[in-house]
Amino acid sequence: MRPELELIQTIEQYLSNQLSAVERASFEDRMQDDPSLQEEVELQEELLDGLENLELKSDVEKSFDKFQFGKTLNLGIGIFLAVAITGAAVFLYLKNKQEGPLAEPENKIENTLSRTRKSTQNDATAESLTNTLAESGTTVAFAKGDLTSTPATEAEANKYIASQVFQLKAKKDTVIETDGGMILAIAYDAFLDENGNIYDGPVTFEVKEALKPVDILKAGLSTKSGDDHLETGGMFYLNPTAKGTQLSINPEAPIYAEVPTDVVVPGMQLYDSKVLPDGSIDWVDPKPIERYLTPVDINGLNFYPDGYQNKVTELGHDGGNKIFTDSLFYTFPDTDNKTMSRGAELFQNNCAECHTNEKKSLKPGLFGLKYTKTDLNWHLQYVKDPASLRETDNTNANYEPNTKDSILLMPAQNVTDEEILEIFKFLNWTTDNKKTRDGHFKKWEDSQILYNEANIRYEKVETSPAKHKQLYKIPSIQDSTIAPPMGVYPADIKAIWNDEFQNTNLATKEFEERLPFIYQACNTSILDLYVKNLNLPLYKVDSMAALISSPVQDKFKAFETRRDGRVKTDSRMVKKLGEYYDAKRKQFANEIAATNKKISDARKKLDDESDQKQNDKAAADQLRKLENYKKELKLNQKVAYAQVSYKPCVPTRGWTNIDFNIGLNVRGLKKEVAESTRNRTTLDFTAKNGKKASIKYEKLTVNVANTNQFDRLYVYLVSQKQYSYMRLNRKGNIFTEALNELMDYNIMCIGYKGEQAFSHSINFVQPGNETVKLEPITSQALDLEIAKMSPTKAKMDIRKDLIYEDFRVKDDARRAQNVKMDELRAQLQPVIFPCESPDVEDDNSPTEVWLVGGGAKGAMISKGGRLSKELFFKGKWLSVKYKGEILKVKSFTCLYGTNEFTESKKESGSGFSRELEGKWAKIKKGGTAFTKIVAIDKYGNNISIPGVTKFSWDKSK
Amino acid sequence: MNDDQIIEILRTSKRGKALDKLYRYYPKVENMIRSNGGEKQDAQDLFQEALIIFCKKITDSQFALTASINTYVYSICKILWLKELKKKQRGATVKIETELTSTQEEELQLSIEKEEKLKTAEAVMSELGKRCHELLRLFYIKSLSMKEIAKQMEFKSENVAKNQKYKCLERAKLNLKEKKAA
Repeated sequence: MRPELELIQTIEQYLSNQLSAVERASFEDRMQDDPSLQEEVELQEELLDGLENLELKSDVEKSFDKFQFGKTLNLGIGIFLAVAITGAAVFLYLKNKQEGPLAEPENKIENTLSRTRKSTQNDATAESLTNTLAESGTTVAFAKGDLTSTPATEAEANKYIASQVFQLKAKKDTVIETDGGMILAIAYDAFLDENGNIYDGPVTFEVKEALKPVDILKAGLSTKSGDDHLETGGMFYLNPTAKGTQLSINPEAPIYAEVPTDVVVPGMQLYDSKVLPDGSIDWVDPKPIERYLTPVDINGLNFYPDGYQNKVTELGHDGGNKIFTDSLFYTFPDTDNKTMSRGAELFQNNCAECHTNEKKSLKPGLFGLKYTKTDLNWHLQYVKDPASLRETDNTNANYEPNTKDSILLMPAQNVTDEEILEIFKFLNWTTDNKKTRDGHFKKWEDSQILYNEANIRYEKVETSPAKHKQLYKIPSIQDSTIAPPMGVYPADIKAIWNDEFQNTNLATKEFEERLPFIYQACNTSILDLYVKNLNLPLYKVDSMAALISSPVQDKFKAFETRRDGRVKTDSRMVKKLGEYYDAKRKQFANEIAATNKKISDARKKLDDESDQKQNDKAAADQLRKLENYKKELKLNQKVAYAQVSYKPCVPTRGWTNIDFNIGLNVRGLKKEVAESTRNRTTLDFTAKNGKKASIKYEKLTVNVANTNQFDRLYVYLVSQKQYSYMRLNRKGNIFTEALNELMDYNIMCIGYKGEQAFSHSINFVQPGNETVKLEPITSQALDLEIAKMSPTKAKMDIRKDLIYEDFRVKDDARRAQNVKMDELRAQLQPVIFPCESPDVEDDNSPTEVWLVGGGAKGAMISKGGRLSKELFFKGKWLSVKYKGEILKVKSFTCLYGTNEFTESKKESGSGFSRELEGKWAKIKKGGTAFTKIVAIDKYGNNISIPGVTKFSWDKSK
Repeated sequence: MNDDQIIEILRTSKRGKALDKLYRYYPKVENMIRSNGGEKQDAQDLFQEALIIFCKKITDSQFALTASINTYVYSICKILWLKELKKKQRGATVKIETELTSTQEEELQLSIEKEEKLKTAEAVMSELGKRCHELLRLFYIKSLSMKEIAKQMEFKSENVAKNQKYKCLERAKLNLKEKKAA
């Protein structure tokens, strides 16, 4: 070896502690003497550290990749094995594969498939299949028997794959992990004996697994379902026995199985095995499987409304500080008095034209009707389609006047069942047969209407619908005296964004993704769905949410197709969490309201007190100035009159000659003295008798050093002859006042830096310039100083003034802080309550909405979207002009509900009136015609048009 | 996996699993960075760096974790981001407070600086060429014997592999010297 390399070797040995003690000592000696050797050692050590870092980095990157693609350890295909099965497999149904997003690899599968099929016809051998598979590298697995025409039997398969046997203890929940990495969670009551009773003795649990294609081929397991081929994600076989007798799986306590996989192919389903008479296996009864979600730390997720933190940051606060953002967010109250409840709004928009919510009035009053549970459906139908009900059913004829042709007959209303129930709730309708505690409209549970629809949908998909029905929880409105909120409120979020909901569906990135749309949906029942159905996979809740009409209905439909699963949770815990949520959010809402009231009451009290103080002080100052003036005027008059030998006459009984001193021009003198006193300017008066009256006012200028170092600074001027103190006028660090020569003055400069006082006083100050430097002083010493320098009255007043000024500075800061907070809250309001934000009216570019297309007859619409007359049109798009651009309207909400335009069907007739498609459609006059318009811009984005202010027709188009 | 288990695993050679778990703290960090003027990419890079620092700390037998992993990792990220911000907007005073004591923070600062210094060595190692890197990796990180390495990497003999290893180190050292001089 070269000597250079040998050195490296030695250093390596030194670094890895391979040198003997003697060698080591001598090496260290050499290092001491030779800095270059030392450098070599350091370099080498550094390099090894760097190498280690690289390794660490690559590990971290791997973890990041996994994290990014949701492939964390928990990922697997989760299945509940509910039915009594002894064999099951996870398959992708090949027929569905065109729908999957993995277009390219799937084509490959198809190729392989067709090629293989061809070779099957050619009576190919098993080897040719293996080749094909190796070539394509896909995981398509075909049973050997399929090709060789000697079907593998179940018995054969069992023979080829080794059993793994687990002994389960009695009465204990068990989790087992198989050699292949499959995880099985078995509840203590998972097994039934032959009589269908729960078996709680020790169980012998046999598992066989063929999770990889090679195992499947080896075992000769079929991958056919009927005549269709399946791509397998793995197969497994479970066989619970007890003392030799066969057990079955309790459908009430299904075994949870997690099969390791890197990719969940959409459309993968679980199949049960069915042993055919010839012993081969057919795969039957496919059931969808779900992707389990990985819970993350719920406190690390973002449950704030979209853009909240950014807005906070933008407004100059620390949006990243969760303690701050939380405290701010949670002070936004639950209910805004300005907002109508949803039921009230719906009533206003749909019913108010003809009905009132009074018990009796000229219009048919609707308040507080009672109905039996059976006729709730009748009511729902009546509202939606009264005409057909009139034809078929006259049992409830007394609901309307017996005038079938009367124009007063109720027309059909385009509202959903859920909306009708909201209206009923608003009207305080009750059920007859089932009075609730508080006598209010019995909750939605009674009806189940909203969710029947959801259930029906699942009945089509689910294999055992009866079992699933009970899983759907109907959101309840806790207290009908509180108006049902319009959207998601901070209290709702506070109730879920905490450790109680760790490890639930809510503590997932998937839920976080949905939350912005849950906010945008502006309907609290949607959040309720997610919170109350923690035992359901998210996609099922999505589908329920998609049934509730909202501006983002589509989004939930889109989420549904992602088939996001759920977090494994204990159902008992889920129930408890539901109760927790109901209790907490009510509690939080009350707490928030109470706290806000407390804060605002306290603030009002402080404001009132401070206003009072300010008024009092202003009055006191006014009085002080007036009294000062009066006293000084008296003094000046006395002196001035004496100077011109004028004695003011004292009226005596009888006639007095007021012209006695007229030669002096008394009136002129009086006026001059008053003016000189008021303006504090020198009096220079010559009376008619030639005598002069003169009182000098001379300027005092006090220059205070280091003015800037003080928070507040005052210069008081006091004199024995004054009524009370005066404050010098301030301009920067210069304080000025004119001094009356008749008075002896003291001045006191008092400054504060925080609570520390500073002062400097001058006895018998003379006109001219004074430069003063303030010295620190204790408050007691200051008190004495004030006493020493000023007469009693002024002493008191100065102390009061200082106390008031102290208060005022602090109070100003308090008020400024409040104003700042108000501004902040006002600016955050629309972010936090996107559902309630008043529409912003932009006067500069009014929003115009008109129908495009010939033949449309239109009506101008006044501000607020009210129509001046009925509007007719047919088969045309509605367009909206917004910010100068003409956009196609996607949907709009008007008197008759939300209407959606679709490409294929240009106009949904029912949306406007009951006119048939193709005929003229009309929008009725009156009411709030257009409340919300969603348009599509040129990029295909949905735009919500706020503040529809002006409608007009564009007849040219 | 609780904190103790994670630490336990991090100290073994199979730290991957524990690292997977640590990523559960990532969203919070992303939030913090995005609301403090950063991008998603910044958050990802920074979190990676923080994990590396954390792992190194944790494998140091002298080190005892007094806070929760969550708090600790989050604090590392905060400190790193603060550094980054200072670099970006010179002179700007940014205030990000961690939940750690000042001694802990200082200790972290030192570790961070140490990591910074190692960046050059890292770069040298990663630019060394695949074969050299693999050879050194197998020997120093995976602790395989020269014999095994020779077999796995198809060297003619153990001696050739050994010689090669030293040559690689020599080259790396030269490169590092050059980089440092520049």
